[in-house]
Amino acid sequence: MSELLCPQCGAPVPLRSAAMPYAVCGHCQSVIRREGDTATRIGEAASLPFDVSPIELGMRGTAPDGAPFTVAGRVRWGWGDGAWNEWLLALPNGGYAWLGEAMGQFQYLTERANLLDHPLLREFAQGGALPLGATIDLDGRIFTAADVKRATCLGSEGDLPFATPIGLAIDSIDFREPSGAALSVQRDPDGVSAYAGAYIDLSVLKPKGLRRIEGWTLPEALR
Amino acid sequence: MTDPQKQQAASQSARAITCPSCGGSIGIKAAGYTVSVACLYCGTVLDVANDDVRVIAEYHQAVAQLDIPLGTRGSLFGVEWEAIGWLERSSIDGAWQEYLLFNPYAGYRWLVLSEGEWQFGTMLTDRPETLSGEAVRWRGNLYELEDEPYRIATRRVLGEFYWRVRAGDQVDAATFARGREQLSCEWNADETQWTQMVPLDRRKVGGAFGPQDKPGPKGKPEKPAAGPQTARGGWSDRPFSADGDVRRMVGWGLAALVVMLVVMASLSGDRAGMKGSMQVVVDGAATHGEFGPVEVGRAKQMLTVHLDGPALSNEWVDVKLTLVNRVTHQAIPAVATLENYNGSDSDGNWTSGDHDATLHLYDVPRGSYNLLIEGQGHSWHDPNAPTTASLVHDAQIAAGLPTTDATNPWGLVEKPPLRTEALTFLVEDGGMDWPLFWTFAVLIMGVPCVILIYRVSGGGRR
Repeated sequence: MSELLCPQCGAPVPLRSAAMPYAVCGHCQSVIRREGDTATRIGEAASLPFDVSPIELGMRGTAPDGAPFTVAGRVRWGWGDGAWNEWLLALPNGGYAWLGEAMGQFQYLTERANLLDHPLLREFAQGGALPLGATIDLDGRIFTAADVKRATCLGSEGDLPFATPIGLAIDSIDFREPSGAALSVQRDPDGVSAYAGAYIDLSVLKPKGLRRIEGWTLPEALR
Repeated sequence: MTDPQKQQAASQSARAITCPSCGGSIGIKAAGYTVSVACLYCGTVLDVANDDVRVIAEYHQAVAQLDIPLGTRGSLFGVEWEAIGWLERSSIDGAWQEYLLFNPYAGYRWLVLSEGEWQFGTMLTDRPETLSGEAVRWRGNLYELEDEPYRIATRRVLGEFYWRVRAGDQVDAATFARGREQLSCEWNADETQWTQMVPLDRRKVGGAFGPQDKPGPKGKPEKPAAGPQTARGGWSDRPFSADGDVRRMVGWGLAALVVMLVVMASLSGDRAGMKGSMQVVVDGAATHGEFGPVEVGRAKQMLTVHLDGPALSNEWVDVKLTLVNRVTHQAIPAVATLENYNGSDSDGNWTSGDHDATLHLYDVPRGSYNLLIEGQGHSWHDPNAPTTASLVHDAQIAAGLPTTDATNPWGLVEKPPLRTEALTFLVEDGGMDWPLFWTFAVLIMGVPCVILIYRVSGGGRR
């Protein structure tokens, strides 16, 4: 794992995924953009509030398709009635996936750019609303919009595909489907992105290096 | 690659807040997930979704005293859970309690106590498929509508929750069942949540979450403790932290035992007995015997039945015993197993099992009864013993399947004549339930003893 030095405070910033153009300095919370060997400070991220998530940066595991991953970054989103984590999983050859974590449940999601051609999402990308109950047909399955909310970034860490300055706000929509499959659509100032995946049990990812939480022992199935 | 943040975070496991209403200190166990907290001391509901703690609804009420105090941990299905939240909910049919369980690696589960029955609830991430108004299919199995849609109101809340909870919340619900397993569906304008509910033995809950729920005689549900409780100032004011209280604890414990002894003795009645014996066939058909009368003179009486198979040797007897009222034909069943095994191995000779048993039949109503006894004897063979085919009665082997016994490769069976064993019984009108008494004695006196040992060893210093 290579390192770069934070242009703001000089602290070493570990690079967990060389493919990610942004990183957050763990020392001064600077949002750093990387281009080749140069690192530029473009803003500041909020520092993450304490939580008891079992995931942490550097954790390794195996994606449902068998590919090994490393947890390289995290964004925490907050809305009026709570917050959730999105963990960036760095896959081989610069690929990545997201592990969404909310209410103690996990979703494994990969980007599905072709979904953006869907008329509903096109309209959404142009600033339109996407109402609760709207449906999207994908791979023969019907996904229903079950959760529509506006969220702001509460903090971030590690390497990320986009910049996460203080005050970053997104529109986030979760679609659900009877078998436990899920879609997630996000609209931020740079545009719309769409992800598809499913609810999973943490043990499916064969996690190695789950965070140690004081006072709790790792369950047998996750060791 | 050590992040300073991470090291700091690793040393904590809870976020501490101060209740703006009463000043009580509250540790938030599921930090990052918890959205609202009902203060353990004053019941005020707080919004803790963000850094600033805001009051949602202010209460200064006596908070409920729970069967499982929040913060208690217990293991169910191989995972350790901490009870972090509690709801009292009600429908038109009555009220029940729901505990929210949390483990940072496993998420949330529910522990529901309704009419003395416990259920363990897991929220579903997939959706049961609606077949009709009367049935749903989930993971290949059919669940039939059990309870028509009904309205649930949350009456009281305590502890922390991953949503914005408050007393008075209402949802609609319906229940579908497959055997004793249920799928519960709750919905409001914004969302629908399905939960799988499996029954849990109350002993399992008691064993997991401490002595709050020890099984009583006949497994009768204890009254849920819902009495008001005086507000506590803080953790340091918890019981047993003051000095000089050991004598008081021991005194109250002994007083409780004396009262119990007197009550049990007064219920035990006189000892007019009835005894008899019967022969039980070993490895044959069940033997039936009918004896009587057994007279019960008090309105509610405990009966004690002693059973003995004094000559059992490498045999066991399953006994089904039924007390039948001669007038009403009301039946009170009980079962017992008498057993005695012996043999020899590398450690020498050994014996195990009890050839006698004592049964207590509680709350037997006044009347005249017949005692029906069904006994079935079985022989047992020490697999290490050198004896062979003459004692083999296994049905498969008798059917001619090959055995692993080299001296009798075809499993030919020589059937010995049926043997019988004597079974004696003694029914006593009453009798002290000494095991129950001593169990309670240990439970009651054990607490001050443990506290005393803890203090003597210096663990109580703060």
